[in-house]
Amino acid sequence: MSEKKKILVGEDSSIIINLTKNVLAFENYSINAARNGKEVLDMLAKEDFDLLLLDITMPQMDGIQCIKEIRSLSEKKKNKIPIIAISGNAGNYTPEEYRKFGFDEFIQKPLNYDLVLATVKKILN
Amino acid sequence: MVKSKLILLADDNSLSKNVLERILEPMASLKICSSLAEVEDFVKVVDFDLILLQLHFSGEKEFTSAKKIKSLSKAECPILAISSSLSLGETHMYLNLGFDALISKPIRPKEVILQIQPYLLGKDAAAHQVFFEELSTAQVISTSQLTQLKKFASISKLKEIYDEFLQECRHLVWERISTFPVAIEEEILREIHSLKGNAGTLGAEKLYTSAKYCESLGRQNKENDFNESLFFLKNAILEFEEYYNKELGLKDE
Repeated sequence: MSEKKKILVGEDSSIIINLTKNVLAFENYSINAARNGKEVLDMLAKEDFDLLLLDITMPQMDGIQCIKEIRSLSEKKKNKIPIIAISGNAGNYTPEEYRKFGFDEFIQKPLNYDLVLATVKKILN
Repeated sequence: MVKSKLILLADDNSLSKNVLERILEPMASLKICSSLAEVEDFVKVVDFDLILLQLHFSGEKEFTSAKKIKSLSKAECPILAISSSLSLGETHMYLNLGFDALISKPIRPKEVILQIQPYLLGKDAAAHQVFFEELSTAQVISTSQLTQLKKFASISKLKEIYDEFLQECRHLVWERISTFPVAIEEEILREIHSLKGNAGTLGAEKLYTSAKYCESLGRQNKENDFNESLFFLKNAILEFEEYYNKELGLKDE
């Protein structure tokens, strides 16, 4: 049996974290959560993940600053991690701008978990 | 709900003017004008929230031009036409004259209230209209969203998550928006933003719609409108809580 894929969720809402953990665990992924961009960086420094779901609006360090830091890390395995942007502010950036920031995909809140799962699967398979 | 708004009413038919006065009086402060010339004098110096004008004043050769009134006005303001007996071909005439909407005679109080409330809530009429439309069609909890969530999480897990959401809602109502006016600060906008994302994801549609509206007004720094929109948010929260406790039925199967 292949090893479980590891997903890190960077999101400040414990409700979304809780729900997302359940949904992703349902598909047998292993999930960790961080509450802001800084925690995301700390966790990435400690272990490797296969995918990052990153909320844009977070306290201390937002998703945009966080992805800038990740993409400029020296270690290739870490700086190339696929990242899905999650945003509750539809009009802030265009999908093109998200791609320029280095995001692989963009999902808008409110989250539709069928879409979340399909996007995660597309990237991880 | 709507206070401290200023409406200019100009209708030279005393019957409909009296009816409109009685409808509008509890909702806003009124300035009554009896002629077009008087209207023109006032809009140059006073910032009105809404103007209701007779489409055709007796004694005037032409229909009232809302475009002209708007060009003279001190501040941008929606203008509604009051008129009766428009034939089918004339129904769009008021738009060409620069009016934003038409109030048809005979005056029906409920219809008039529904029609002008969105304008009174603020000056960005289009956004308000969209909000009211969205709110009127939104469910307290979307059944399709709930069905989707049930695919991925057990009932007891969902209950735990909705309970946490309810705590977040209660905190906002009792701690953050308990006394008015509420100042627009980053902290409360962040809480509303978080509530919006959670509400939408959990299918609490009315709450999501209200939070989205509050956040948008807050980000635009519209203090009065923001505070008025918080009433809608508060209502949506209370409605959600009642529905959740009585009807959602998240019981273990």
